Amino acid sequence: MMVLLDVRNLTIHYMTERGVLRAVEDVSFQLEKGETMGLVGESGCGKTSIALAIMRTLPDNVCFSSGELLFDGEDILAIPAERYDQEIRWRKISMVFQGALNSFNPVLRIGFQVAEPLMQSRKISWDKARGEVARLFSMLGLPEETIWRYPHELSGGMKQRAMLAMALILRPKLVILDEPTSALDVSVQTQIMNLLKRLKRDMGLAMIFITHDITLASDICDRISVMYAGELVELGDADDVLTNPLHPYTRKLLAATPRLRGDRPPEYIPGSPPDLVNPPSGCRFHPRCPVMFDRCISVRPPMFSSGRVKVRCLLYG
Amino acid sequence: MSLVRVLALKAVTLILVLFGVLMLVVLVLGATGVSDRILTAYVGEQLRAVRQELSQRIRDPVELERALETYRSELITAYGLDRPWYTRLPQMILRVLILDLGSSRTVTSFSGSSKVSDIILERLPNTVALVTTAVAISSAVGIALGARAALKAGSRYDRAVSLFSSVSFALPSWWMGLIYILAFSFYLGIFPFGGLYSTPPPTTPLERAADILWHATLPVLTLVTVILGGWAYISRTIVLNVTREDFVAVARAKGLKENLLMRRYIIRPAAPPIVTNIVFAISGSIGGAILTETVFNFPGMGRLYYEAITSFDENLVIALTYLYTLIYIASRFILEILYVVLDPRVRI
Repeated sequence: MMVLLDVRNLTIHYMTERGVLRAVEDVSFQLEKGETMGLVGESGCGKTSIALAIMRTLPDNVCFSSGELLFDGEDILAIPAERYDQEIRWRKISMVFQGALNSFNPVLRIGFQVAEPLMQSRKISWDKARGEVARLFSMLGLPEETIWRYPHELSGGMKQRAMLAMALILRPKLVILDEPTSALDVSVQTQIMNLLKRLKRDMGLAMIFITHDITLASDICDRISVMYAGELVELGDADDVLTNPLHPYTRKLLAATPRLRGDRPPEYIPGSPPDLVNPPSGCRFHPRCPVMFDRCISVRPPMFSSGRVKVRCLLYG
Repeated sequence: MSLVRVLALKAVTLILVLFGVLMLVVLVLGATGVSDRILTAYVGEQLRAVRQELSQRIRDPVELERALETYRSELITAYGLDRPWYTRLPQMILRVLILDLGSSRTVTSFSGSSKVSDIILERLPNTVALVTTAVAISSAVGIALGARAALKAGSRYDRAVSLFSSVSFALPSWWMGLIYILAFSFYLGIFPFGGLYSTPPPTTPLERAADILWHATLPVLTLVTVILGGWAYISRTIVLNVTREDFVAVARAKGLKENLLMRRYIIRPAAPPIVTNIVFAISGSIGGAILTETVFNFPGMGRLYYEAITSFDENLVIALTYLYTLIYIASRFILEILYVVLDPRVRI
């Protein structure tokens, strides 16, 4: 298989009123063509920052960033902004944003907003772009007349489908999905997940699936990477990570999932997520870790390989 | 079809508002006894004047008193004081409703007419020249300043606009007017102290127009100085709120060209609230600006309302109140129609 996206030592710091916030620290992973990787972690752990870095739409208060993002072998953080806009943005990498309900301009028709990237890149008119939008809409299970609808006339599930259509309009190789189903009710969520699985199969699309719901990630992802407090703590094939979690955080996360069968009550992780302005020393999970020992406080664990899984925990050193 | 129904419904609601306002005027003037007291005072005043006149002709005191008594009862019937207010005032309202504004009691036009329509038609152009001009200038400049500040939020330009806005908003118009008079009229002597025309007024229409412009410059400048800041700040807030919307981030991520993005995703969604401000400000400007008109001795609608109230000119107060309500309702209806064009969410 070919590596599509190679993230190397990505680090992103924001300047806030309270000081430097270390949102993403030394994150590395690879994504192969047509592969779906889940990026799992709790709110504020840096998942969306990674997505925004790939889209090159990080907010203005970034005060430090380093690392490489190799897409098809080329560092897309290093190329000039104009070239990124002309060759990569939306044409090769697109994104479905968190909160699709507000992702559409309330005063423009849905179809027009979906067609905009196409109209701009091919320099064609709205009349000419409409056919492509209609084709995509029918593929995603949206009635053709949805093109003429305004955002407030659509249900949450329809908006999410339209958002997907917008992300796919230039046939990208990689789509980043940031919490694509978190605002939807469970039955619509299932429909969208089935749609994503079909797209993955039929279009050979590579996806980064960002979610805080590890069971949802298990439904679609080939591989799963778990983030905690800006760091990648575990990375491996979905089957391995889900059936045999290595990192104490991943274990606790899976133990916190309620089960339909069996009488094991769901557990919880004591404490709260750390403040990323003053992250804990050593391993960032040590204040909440059930198997913490002395070295965890002073030594920042590197990524260890344990079988096919990579894990950032001193237990495996 | 449904659109027509929606607008018709709005129209009915607005007509109800109009009746509501007129009902309130009747209640305030009638139930509190103000109307009765005003009219009684008029009768007394007129009787005094007539007594002077009659005493020259009728020497016999008893005869004089009898004549005066007859005259008084005539006056009371004419003013409707013999009937309770709730039959008298609604009649007046009904007359006003068909735009028969009647005549004032004390306030007259400069040409001497006491017809309310004459008085208003004389003052209206002055106020439009002064306040409406100032509102037009302030809104155009203020929206441009505010929108630019919002697009560069946090920059030095933005902070300068914000500072200027709060200063401008805090300035009282009468004080600003006095300062301008002091600077430009008293020390520099390039603008008149006040009034509408030079004395004697120029004769040709062109010169007259130029003369009014020259006299209106300082009052317009005063109004612009004190209301520009509000416009800039409100527009800044509206546009800033839009720039923080998710859909702007999406449009940026999908690579929309910056000028398109600004037009379609920021200015366009921000338009409805800004247009609301413009329509209400323009229609409100017809009511005049009492303080500025007073400082510059400018005969406009604001001072007319003030004079009507202080001289207890009931007819004029009712006519003006009706007129302002009518203007408000008309502008509300214009807004409803504009919203249908600007905001798809109100189309049903």
